[in-house]
Amino acid sequence: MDFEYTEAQRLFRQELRDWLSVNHPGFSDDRIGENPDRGWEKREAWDRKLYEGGYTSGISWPVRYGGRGASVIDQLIVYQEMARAQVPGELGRGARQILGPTIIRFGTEDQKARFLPSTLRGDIRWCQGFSEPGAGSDLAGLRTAARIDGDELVISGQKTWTSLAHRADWCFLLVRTDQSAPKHKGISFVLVDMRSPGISVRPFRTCVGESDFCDVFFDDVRVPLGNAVGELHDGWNVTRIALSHERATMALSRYLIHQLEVSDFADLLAQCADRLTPQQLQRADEALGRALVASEQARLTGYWNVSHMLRGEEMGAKGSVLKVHFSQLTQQLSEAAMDLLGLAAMTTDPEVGQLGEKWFRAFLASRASGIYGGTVEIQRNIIAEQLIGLPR
Amino acid sequence: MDFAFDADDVLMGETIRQVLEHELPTERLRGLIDDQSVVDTALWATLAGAGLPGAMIADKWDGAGLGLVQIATAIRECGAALAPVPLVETVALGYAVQRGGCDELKAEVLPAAAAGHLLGSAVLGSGPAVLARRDSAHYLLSGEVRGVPFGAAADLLLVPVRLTTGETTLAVCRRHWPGVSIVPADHNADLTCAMSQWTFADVPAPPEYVLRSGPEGDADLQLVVSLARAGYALLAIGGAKATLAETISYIGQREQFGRPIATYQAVKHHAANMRIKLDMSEPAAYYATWCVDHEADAQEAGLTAYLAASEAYLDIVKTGLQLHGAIGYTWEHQTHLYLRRAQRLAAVFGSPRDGYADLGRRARARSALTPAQHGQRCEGKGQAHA
Repeated sequence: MDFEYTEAQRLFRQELRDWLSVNHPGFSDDRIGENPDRGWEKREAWDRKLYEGGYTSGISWPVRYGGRGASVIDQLIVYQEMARAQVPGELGRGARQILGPTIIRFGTEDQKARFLPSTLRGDIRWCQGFSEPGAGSDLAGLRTAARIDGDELVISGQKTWTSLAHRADWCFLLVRTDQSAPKHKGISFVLVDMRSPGISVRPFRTCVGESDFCDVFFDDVRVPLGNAVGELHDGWNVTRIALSHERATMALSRYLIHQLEVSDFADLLAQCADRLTPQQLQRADEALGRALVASEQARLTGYWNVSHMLRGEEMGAKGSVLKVHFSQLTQQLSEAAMDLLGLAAMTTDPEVGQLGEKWFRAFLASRASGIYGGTVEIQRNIIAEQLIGLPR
Repeated sequence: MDFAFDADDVLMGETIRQVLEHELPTERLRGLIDDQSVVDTALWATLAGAGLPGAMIADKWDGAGLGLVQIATAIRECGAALAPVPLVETVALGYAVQRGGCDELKAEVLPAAAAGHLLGSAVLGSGPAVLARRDSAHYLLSGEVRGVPFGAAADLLLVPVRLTTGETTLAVCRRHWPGVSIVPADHNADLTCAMSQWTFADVPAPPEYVLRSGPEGDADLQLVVSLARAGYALLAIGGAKATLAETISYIGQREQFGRPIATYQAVKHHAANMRIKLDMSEPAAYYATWCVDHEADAQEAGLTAYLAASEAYLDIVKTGLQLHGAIGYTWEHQTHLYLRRAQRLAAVFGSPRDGYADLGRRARARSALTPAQHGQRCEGKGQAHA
């Protein structure tokens, strides 16, 4: 058992820390109630800077594809230092964490050459087309169809909950290419140019009031067959296998976001402490203590999982455990803020200023954490069946 | 970074698990409870043979000079089996003496403890309940200590005492000193850990039995408490693992409406929640052992581990009992033994809610001091190991 970093890792951290102190963009994510669509240009510029510095999530990609072949630990160091410096997140993180490794593992040489460097540079902004109106928890029940016509796929259907589709140049999506196969066997993973004729994008508003999610409609959109990643009809496997290692990294870095949220709550509490009764203060301190313990649990379980992964163990469904934990932590923290702020979260209160509205937005936004990326109920099914081994 | 046990640590846990399976089958545990035995002395002798009570004692004093990390899996297995032995308490006592005792005291206590000839106990969950007044040749101890684990059998008790200077430090007390009276509790909720009250009526204690005070003594006290918290977290993790494993096996066999109840989603989700609680607190318990060994971040890590593990244990046992249905509510079924243990562990350091509030208060104070900086706090923690 060892928590030391190697000499190379320490140097890497120092290098990055120095780089961040010189290149800090001068703004941070608005963590509670964050909306990446706001300040898009600033964020794009920052994303390019990260690329120039060599500190994107692509550092774990092999060197020949523009990465640094960095280990999960180096990746963790990048996320830790970015959180420490309170710089904004990376705009292309999703594509670099999910799509990049998929292409690296399953893509053709042509796809690699065409998409990997441009994704790393941020020249291509991606959106993800997985969910559909009729395929949420039952993702494999998706119905967006791709008919094979000569050397093209002709796609028709609708994707939803596609983040920032209105900003995206390309989309990686799951489509049904074989209607007669069992539902997990007839899906393909396809890359689509968002400027293709037949695509229309309609942003919609979430309950928070923002519109960074979109419906994407495909009306006989023609895509070269060569844009399928991996074997045709094998898209479910492609996604599953490519994501298994990425889940570890994501689960590993997510605690950092929660630590920052917990710090925000500590700030809020420190600021409001004077106007609370002793009972309220005790309750809020308790909530803060619980959140601190919960985020520390997340950090340590993440380290534990990754260390075992580096020793060659399968991650399996362990990401689902962290997912449920994170959801609970986020929701409980913002609920504690609601308890603390009372009416000040619901209407303008000069004593707390903008904080009331911000925390109320966080409270609303936290409801999503039990739903996106697979609801907590689905995660519990996965834990019960795959991790514990209970019968279906 | 390699947050995992080495092969030797895993083997240690496996060995102790087999020992317990062999020496403490359910019937024997039930027999000990029925006979109101306080400690399983035969098992204690075996564990001493395996080097456990002396594991953290230096070679010089006949111990093995290991860290808490190296016996973490063994403590966990003792928790899994509800072993009625004062392992955590004796280890804590030896550790305290090794840190804060003079050579004379070490010579008296440590080799005997390492050999398994001494049963130690410790009450570290509350402030000092004993006053230690210095007279010419002795300290005079007065006060009473309730809830002494395995207290009716313990030879030595480690307990915080208040000095007349107002300082608090640790003292080791011997059961046979004149003026010590030990009264076993009438009501013992945890059937696998009988408790007693130790009363001190102006007990003359040789001065070396009061451990060093001052800044070093404060640091010792903190580390000893952290070790105890980590130790109890490990017992909790063991018990939680055992409860989960037993429950999984039961719901796979128990059939209602013509199929195993494990096929029902309501049951699966309970089982998943048990697994989530376990997986989210087990690493915290192991981390706390590492922190004690490295004397880094031990106080917060110990408190975090203890709060997380003791709460997880209690939740897991309650859900486990629910999943057993009525059979889990019988005297014959072992679940209530775990529930009793879990509730005691959750009470050892006072109300967990106060523990959380204490952590929160400290974070709030830091936040008020440096509002712009505290985002770095946890990273700073990572840096402690960097």
